[in-house]
Amino acid sequence: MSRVGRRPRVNPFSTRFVQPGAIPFRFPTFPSPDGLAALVLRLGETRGWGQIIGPHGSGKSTLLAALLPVLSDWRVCHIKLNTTDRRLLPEVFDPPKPGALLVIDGFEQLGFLSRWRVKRHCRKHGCGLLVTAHTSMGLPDLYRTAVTPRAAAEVVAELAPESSTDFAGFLDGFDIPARLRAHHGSLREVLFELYDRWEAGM
Amino acid sequence: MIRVEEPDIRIELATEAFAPSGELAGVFVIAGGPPPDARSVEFSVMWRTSGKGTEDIGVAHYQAWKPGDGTLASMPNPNTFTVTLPNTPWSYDGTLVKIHWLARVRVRYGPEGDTREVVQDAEFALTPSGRV
Repeated sequence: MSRVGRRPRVNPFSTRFVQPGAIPFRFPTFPSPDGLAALVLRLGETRGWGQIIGPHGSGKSTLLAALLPVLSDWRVCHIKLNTTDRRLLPEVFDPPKPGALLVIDGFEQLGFLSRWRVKRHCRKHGCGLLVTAHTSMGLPDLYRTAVTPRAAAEVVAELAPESSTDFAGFLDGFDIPARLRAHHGSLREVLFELYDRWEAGM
Repeated sequence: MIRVEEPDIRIELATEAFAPSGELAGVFVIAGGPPPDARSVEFSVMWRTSGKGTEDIGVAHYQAWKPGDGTLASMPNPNTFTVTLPNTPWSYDGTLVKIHWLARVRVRYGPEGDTREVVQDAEFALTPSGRV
């Protein structure tokens, strides 16, 4: 049967179900509200300077999506950079209002000079700077993300509950910890793999 | 404190598949009517993509009823609708990208600062044959 004109079957691992904000961030040791409160406190101590560091697909943007709504004491300016969009708008360098916090997701996408310019701008105007990156950007550590096999299993179970008949047998033979290791700790890649598995009909 | 239940929205479409440029016909009902603190009821017919990458959206029809302009009070419930559909994009069940068509009703309600919303979708196919 042609795929054109056919009502599509919903893939539970589609972007809208797995993108940052769609899946809650899981702190390994304490409940999310406590973890977020601790991060807000820590950010206040560092006057808004901080970095969230972790490998590809380890939950940096997911943590940021959970954190941004609770940063009510700050005037947040959120910028998301990626490999296809590495530009900073000139307005970023306008004098900020008091309590401003510049949040840049994917800070390492900027070149060395741009990063230096952003830091200098924030320092000069007393503005906070919170970034996510794969490696240290020389800011105080706010959090280091890493996906545990348990967290990965919980996320997968939430997206494809085995109790549902729709997913009966879907995960048979799929070793989540092993796949997480194979993808160097990237839950995003594991979920991409599950997207393909769903499309292939297991 | 009175606990207001979430609005119960139902959408029924005349059929599951419609032809390009055809008329989407259906009805939606909010059980018991919109909540007393409703801020808006919105009805849209739209397509969206899903897949592994960035998702896209397009709106073919949009209508809103609000208490401020008096339209909510006169909104029929059940509300029958007919919407002329565009020619494209056709529904598509691809591996990397899919195109979904849906009729959507969204009810926003609650006090300012604590506004909630309930969304109900009814999917259909826009297909050259006009049938499933």
